[in-house]
Amino acid sequence: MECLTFRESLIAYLDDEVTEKESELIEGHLHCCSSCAAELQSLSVSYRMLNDALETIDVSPEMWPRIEAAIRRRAEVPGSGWRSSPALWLPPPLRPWAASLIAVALLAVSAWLLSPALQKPDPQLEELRQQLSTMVEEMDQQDTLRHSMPPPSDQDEYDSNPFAPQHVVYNPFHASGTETRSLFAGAEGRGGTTDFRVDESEAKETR
Amino acid sequence: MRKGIAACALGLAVLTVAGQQKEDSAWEEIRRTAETQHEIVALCILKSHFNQVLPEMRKVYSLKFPEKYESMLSQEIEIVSDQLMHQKQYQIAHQVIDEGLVLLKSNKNKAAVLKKKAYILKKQGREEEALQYFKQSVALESVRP
Repeated sequence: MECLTFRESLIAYLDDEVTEKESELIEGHLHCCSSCAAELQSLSVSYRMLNDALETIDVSPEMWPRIEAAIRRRAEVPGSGWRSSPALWLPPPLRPWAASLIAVALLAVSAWLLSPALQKPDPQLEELRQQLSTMVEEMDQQDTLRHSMPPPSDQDEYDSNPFAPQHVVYNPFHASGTETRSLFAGAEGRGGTTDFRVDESEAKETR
Repeated sequence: MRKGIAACALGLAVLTVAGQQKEDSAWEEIRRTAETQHEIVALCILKSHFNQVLPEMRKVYSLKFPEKYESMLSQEIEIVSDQLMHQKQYQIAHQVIDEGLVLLKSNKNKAAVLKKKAYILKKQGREEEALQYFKQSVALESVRP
């Protein structure tokens, strides 16, 4: 662990970028650690080779101020530099949240676009839907009619039938087809409403 | 020769009438049984013995209705399922319809029962399923009989 710490500082040591105290510490370690000393030797050779290979360029003292001025000019142009990215306007701790929010928004938009509600309604299906609603309304009306019908005259017979005034139906298998003594029976079986009625004439015709 | 033809015709007529009477009496037996079964089903609903409704309805279904009286069977299915719907026994109502529907041959009767199923589904708030059954019903009506 100690060697690892020193090896990370070896390049800085070679570049004379360490403090005097750090330099003493590194040198002290190098005296007692042959491995780190060998590493330093290897790095020194590489550095020397690199320095030999590179051509020395004389840079005028005005060079850096000119580069700095050029960078500054570029940063001031709108749409360039780091401020052009909207997410980078945010402080770094908020950036992951911004990314998550954008992802959620994209998902929501995709789901919205793919939802069946947005698909173009089929006119035939809409017409069927309308017909179904009409049928249900009609059936409900028939139901209401049955509810509002007066109770049958022979009250005794229906007193035992809790369905009688509310759900008046008749036995479709009754022989007469018009008169019935069914448990379900009520006013309808006496020639009232026509729904649920057996078309007896039709049946007789086919006999 | 003429007497022979007349005798044959008479014999044929007698046979036809006899056959018709036999058919009528067979139907009458079916009808009486169905009528009684209807009362039993009615009682089951009246007494809230809903679990008994389907077994009793199956007895009606097993009666092998002649095709010309099939409309009675479809009406029975409609009546019973309607009663069950009013008692909020939707599942049994649908079972009654589904089991009865396969026995019906006439498109008119099938359409009527499918409409009842669509109605019950709509009442349950199952809009899309109701629409599908209603669509089937309308399609069947358009290809009558």
